[in-house]
Amino acid sequence: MTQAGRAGQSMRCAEVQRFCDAFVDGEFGDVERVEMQAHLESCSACEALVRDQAAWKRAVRNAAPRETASLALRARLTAALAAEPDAPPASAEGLAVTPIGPQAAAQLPRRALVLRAWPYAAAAAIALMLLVTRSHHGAVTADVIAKHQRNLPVEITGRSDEVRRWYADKVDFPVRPPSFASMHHAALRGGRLANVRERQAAYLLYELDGNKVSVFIFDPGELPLEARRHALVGDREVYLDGAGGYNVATYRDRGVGYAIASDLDQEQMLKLVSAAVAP
Amino acid sequence: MATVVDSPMKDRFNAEAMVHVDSLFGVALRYTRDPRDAEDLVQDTVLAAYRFFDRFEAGSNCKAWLFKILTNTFINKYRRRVREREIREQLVVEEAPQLVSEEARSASRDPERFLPSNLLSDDVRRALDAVPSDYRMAVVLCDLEEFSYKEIADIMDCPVGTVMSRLHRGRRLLQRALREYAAEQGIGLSNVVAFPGKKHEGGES
Repeated sequence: MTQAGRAGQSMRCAEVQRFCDAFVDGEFGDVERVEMQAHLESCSACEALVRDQAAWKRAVRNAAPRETASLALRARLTAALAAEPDAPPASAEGLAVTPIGPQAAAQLPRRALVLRAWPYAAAAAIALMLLVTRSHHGAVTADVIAKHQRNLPVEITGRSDEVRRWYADKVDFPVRPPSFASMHHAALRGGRLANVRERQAAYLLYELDGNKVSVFIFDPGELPLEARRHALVGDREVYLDGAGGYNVATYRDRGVGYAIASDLDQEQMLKLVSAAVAP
Repeated sequence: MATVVDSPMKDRFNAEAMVHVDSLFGVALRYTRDPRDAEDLVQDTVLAAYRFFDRFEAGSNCKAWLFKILTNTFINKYRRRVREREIREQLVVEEAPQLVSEEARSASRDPERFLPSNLLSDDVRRALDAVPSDYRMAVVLCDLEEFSYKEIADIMDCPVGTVMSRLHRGRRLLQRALREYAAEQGIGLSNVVAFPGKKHEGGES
């Protein structure tokens, strides 16, 4: 048993302690593994540490309870799957649980929106007047796009009225989830609390014909929602901004601020707003 | 000879995904610590997976993909319920008598058997259940299901560094709990672990 060399190798010993788990879990590359083994041969304390952790890992794994799904569960799963259509559409209606993580979201096809999915385009309802005004950097835009990209996990799923009730005691402004009623491919996937700049916001996640749409509802206060491009939807001023392939539409409705982010183009964004504010 | 398959999608799903149902249930049970919640969680996971199966890239890691959905669903839908229960239980556990399994009692008469290589299934279950859920998830995915750090990072939607720190903390909590059980049973497990070669004189307290 030698303790010799420990002081001289204190950095190495600290590293061993720090990365002991990763070594035991086989996460080291070839070079690091050889270095580690060389150190362990010359340092009995580190060698004991690694040996103990390896013994623990083995012991926990060997003793871990082996569970099997009951026949009742298997029968339930078989029955539930039998009730599903043979080839589920990507945006199945009535989806009870949507895996909303980066991978699931990344798998949403980024296909171009098919215009025949917009049977109620209601073009006539949009008094479209795209005007170019003075350049104005949209701080709200950048924030909203960053959050839209991040695939934030949702805290509440359910019908629109359930989601609305969930927010009732959490934010001090009314949260009215847009129904996008004229777009029968739009589905509310869930919501969570978030921020727009420093202001508290309700974040609602929609899926629209395979496209992810984020809606932020917040008390705008002094936040500038104005952007370079704006349009009139009905009598409502809507601002359009974009960055990195995403577009953001912002507007006010009954004193509450709305920001909608997606990778739809600006014309489609306006149709979206039109559907959102429709009575 | 070609056969007509009524539902190629369901056949593929059965072959690739349904073979993991035992694993999914085992992990769901460790996540939720409640058999009924675990069964509901597995059903939610399987249905969501089926509905998104057309987006699953054939040939990629189906098991990791399923566990990602399971973990996401647990975090989004079940964890609050589990946390509430954890808080309630903490109040009760303090006063509850410690239950020691019969197997553990007999093992305690022979301290040499109580090396970590002889952990008891009941104790591991109890110790794992006592670890807070973020750490527990990392330990379960690594030590029970043997996912790599990168896979766990993807499943838990966090950086690899976070996986490492959760794993480290989770394991230390787990080991501490298992040592405490051993101490309750009159075995100086910590001594045995620190000096595996040393004869231990401890007996029942």
